[in-house]
Amino acid sequence: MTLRSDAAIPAPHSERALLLPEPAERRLRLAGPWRATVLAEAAREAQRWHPGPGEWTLDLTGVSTLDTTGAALVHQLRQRIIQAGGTAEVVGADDIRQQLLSLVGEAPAPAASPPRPLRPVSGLGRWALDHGRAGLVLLAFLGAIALAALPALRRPRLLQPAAISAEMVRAGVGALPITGLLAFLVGIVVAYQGGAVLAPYGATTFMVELVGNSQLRELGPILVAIIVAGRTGSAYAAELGTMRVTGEIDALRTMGVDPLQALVLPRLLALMVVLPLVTLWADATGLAGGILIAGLLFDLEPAVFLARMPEAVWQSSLWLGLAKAPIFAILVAVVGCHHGLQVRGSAAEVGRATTMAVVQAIFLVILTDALFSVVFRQLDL
Amino acid sequence: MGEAVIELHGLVNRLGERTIHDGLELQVERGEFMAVVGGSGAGKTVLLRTLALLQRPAAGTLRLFGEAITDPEAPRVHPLRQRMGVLFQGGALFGDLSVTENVLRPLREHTRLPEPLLQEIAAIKLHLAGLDPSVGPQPPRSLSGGMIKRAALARALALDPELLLLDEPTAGLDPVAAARFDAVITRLRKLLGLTVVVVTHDTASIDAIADRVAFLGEGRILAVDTPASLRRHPRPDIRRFFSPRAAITEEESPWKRA
Repeated sequence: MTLRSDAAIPAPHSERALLLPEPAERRLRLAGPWRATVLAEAAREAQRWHPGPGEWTLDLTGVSTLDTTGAALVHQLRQRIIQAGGTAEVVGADDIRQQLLSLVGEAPAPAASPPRPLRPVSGLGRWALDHGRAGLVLLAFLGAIALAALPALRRPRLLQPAAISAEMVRAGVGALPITGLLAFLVGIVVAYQGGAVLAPYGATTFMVELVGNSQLRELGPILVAIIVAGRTGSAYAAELGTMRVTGEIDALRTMGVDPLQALVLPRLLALMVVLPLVTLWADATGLAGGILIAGLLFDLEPAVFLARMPEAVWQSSLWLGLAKAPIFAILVAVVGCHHGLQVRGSAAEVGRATTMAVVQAIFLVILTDALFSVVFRQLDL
Repeated sequence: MGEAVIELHGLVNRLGERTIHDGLELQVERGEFMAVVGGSGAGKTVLLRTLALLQRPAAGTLRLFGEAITDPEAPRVHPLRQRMGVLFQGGALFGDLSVTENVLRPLREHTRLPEPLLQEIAAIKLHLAGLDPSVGPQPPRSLSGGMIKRAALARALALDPELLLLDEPTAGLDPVAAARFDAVITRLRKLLGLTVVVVTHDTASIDAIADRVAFLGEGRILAVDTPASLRRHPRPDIRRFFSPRAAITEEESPWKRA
């Protein structure tokens, strides 16, 4: 909350509250409007002022208006005189002002805010524990989803085909333009950079190996997974988070509907089905980008490019790339739904959950992809 | 006295295609306690939003503190906002600030008072609104509904506004808490010379604290009078609003008797 409105606009009252000590007569004369908006100088004056002991008079006759903030300052002044061993008599206060002063006086002292034990070491420890626990909770959530899916094995109707297909349109068809465009551009970049390296050796025909394998095996699946994590994973977290805040999740529970089964399973299954398809589409547009650059800049005819594809691109590249997609779908959907359902309390939490869902999903997608690379290499796939 | 804090003439409000208000006429005098009542969807909250300078009227004139307001976003209007406090229906407390900081938000914006005095003022405002100082450091999400209303009232009172706008202040409170809320408002009104406009359904609360009641319906203000005279108003729909149980007639019953 650091919003500042236009400070150039003048305060409604240009007069200021005045504090005029007259130590000789043991008198404290207050004048002007003692209102919150014009009280700052008088308040600072009061902090600097040190009363000696004696019988002081607080003279409010010159005060034009008195609000609770002004009354609070008057009360503070009176308290300080009393603490200094003196007495304070207020004059020039009518009945209303007297009541205001006594009202201010009867308010209890403010509660001290709790200390914040955020020392670096204990903070780091708590952070690590929190994250470790979050991992366990995520695993437990995965298990709960699997349990919720069990009854559907016997009664497939429980899976709500209508909800799944609607979800597939939203998460899959809706993502086609952006994934297609981005994969196309990435295909252009890879072909261009690779071609620039291969051309001096007269080896531009190897662009087919380069573009084909990198696109199908790595770039296509991971690009799609990252876009879908930002597009759909965030939507899942925000939707379910909002439903929690508005009590819709609890409403489902009271009807005997399992939120995991009704909300999470359709989203998860839809994403698992649709993500490989979107990946296939991204593979195609990425190759199109590569073919375009190879033909335009490196004199590699599209027909030649396509003809070399079957021998140049390893069979495993396509299948491994497509096999990764459902795994990424599980990561994105489970992390998104999990953070959405974790929301407690206010709407601000929804924003935080959404951010967490996207960051964690992208992190897990890339981590898993790295693990896959190592495993496939070891298995010689 | 006798000076109008709020003057509405021929005020028209539209939300999209729908005309909510079609020529409102209303005057609220300084120090007056005006309740706004009407059926659901009669435009009570829209009226309050207009007075709070959140809604630009489609036509008509609005005068606040004697100043004609044509554009609620104009910089000239800005200082007027410091002279009014608004209590929103759901409280609208800032979720990322503690209760104390919520109360201090307007003070930090418009004053440069030293920190110890600010803390003391926050405690006073909480006390005025009937809250314990221990509530201060807590986040709003840990409060009950009644406490949120009172914390929101404390925030609305932060700058000692001349005009207080309350949207359903006692809705969702139990009768005892509602009565206590009314008592708080009445006391503050006397001490601070507040002018209050309150939107409410709570007829008990209206009887306890309102000087006059404006009855909204059919896009206009159908009647403005004391609660007692509205009970004897010639229009039956107004009379019935104040009848003990707002009993419905046989034709209006949603179920046909067997």
